[in-house]
Amino acid sequence: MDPAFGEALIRLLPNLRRYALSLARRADLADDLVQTTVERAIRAAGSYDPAARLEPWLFRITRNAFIDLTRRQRTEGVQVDVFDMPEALPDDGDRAVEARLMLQATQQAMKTLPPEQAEILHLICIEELSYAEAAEVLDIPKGTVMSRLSRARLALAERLGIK
Amino acid sequence: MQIDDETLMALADGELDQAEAARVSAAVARDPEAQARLRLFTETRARLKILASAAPAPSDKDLIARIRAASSAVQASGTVAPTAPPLSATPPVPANANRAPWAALAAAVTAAVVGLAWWQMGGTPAGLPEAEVAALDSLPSGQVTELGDGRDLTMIASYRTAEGAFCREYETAQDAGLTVSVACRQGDTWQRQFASDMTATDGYVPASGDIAALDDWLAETGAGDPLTPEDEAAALAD
Repeated sequence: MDPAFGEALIRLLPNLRRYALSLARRADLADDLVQTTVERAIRAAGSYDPAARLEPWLFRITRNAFIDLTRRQRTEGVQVDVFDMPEALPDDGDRAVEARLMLQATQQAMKTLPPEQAEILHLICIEELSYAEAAEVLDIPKGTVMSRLSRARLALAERLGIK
Repeated sequence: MQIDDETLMALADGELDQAEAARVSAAVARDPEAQARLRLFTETRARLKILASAAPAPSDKDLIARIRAASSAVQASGTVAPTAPPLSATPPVPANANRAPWAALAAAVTAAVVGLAWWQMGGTPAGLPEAEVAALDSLPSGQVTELGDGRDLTMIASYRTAEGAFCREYETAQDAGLTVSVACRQGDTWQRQFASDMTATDGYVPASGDIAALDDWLAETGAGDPLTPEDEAAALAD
């Protein structure tokens, strides 16, 4: 494996964890997803085209790992929601209270959106993927990305009281 | 000019080319209503962007060490690390909505699974129950049916093996027990060729063993990506 690839992968670990968390919503599952993504990325490093951005390529691996994981888990259990876990909340003691409240309101609103909408918002507005890159990760046409994203944005605006 | 939401959003997201962006911006400047709608898109993006810095940051020390080790292993030997056979970067992708994670997540899950996989390559016919055969004959992937004996059957996906056999992956569930199976059509009958029993346990155990077993089976038989719903329907009609 090219050391440059390894270093790029290391730089993106926080992004991977964030995306994994948005998919799984549980810190322990997110950890496993990141782990799986890293292992698969290392094994598949040879098939990565260095001309393309690494983010979509990695996110796609994470997403497939998540699909693998969830379709094999059907047993109901107690879900620990990441947003209820104090250690999962941002440590932003320096930040103004107002900003923190706004952030929590956004997190809360994301939680109430349909998962499909929350996912596309995450990829584009948080991870800053382009429409085309998100289409690649989600395996849907770009037109679908745009219609879904626009619905999701309006739904989020409504929940946040943005007019 | 009437500017639709998707165009406004593309402007807010920097997805329009320069000429288009200039044209739309000029139109927005003359249209207070469009300005208000544009703000919905810029503001939602700005609010979400803040979340990028809000993720928990557990230590990635071990992972970083793992990645650096993989890098240096290659440096040393000049070849691919022997313990890391190349895998497809994109494991079989869902050809239908059933593989989409959300359907599964809705039914989610914290108790985990441990698996025991077994193969029936050749050998005696598996003698599948009639209800399972009926589902294999007609149930599209992504749909669930009751087998009449207390079990549910979820059709996952269809494949063609390298030899051209038509095979289908499905799950049967009863209470906490789950079996992932693959059956292939042989003439007028179905033969189960792979099955992995999973039992719920306390706490979370990664199911990678089961995934590996299924992936191995798929790789061994040369099965490619799942068939599209159209191709599957055509195969079922044969």
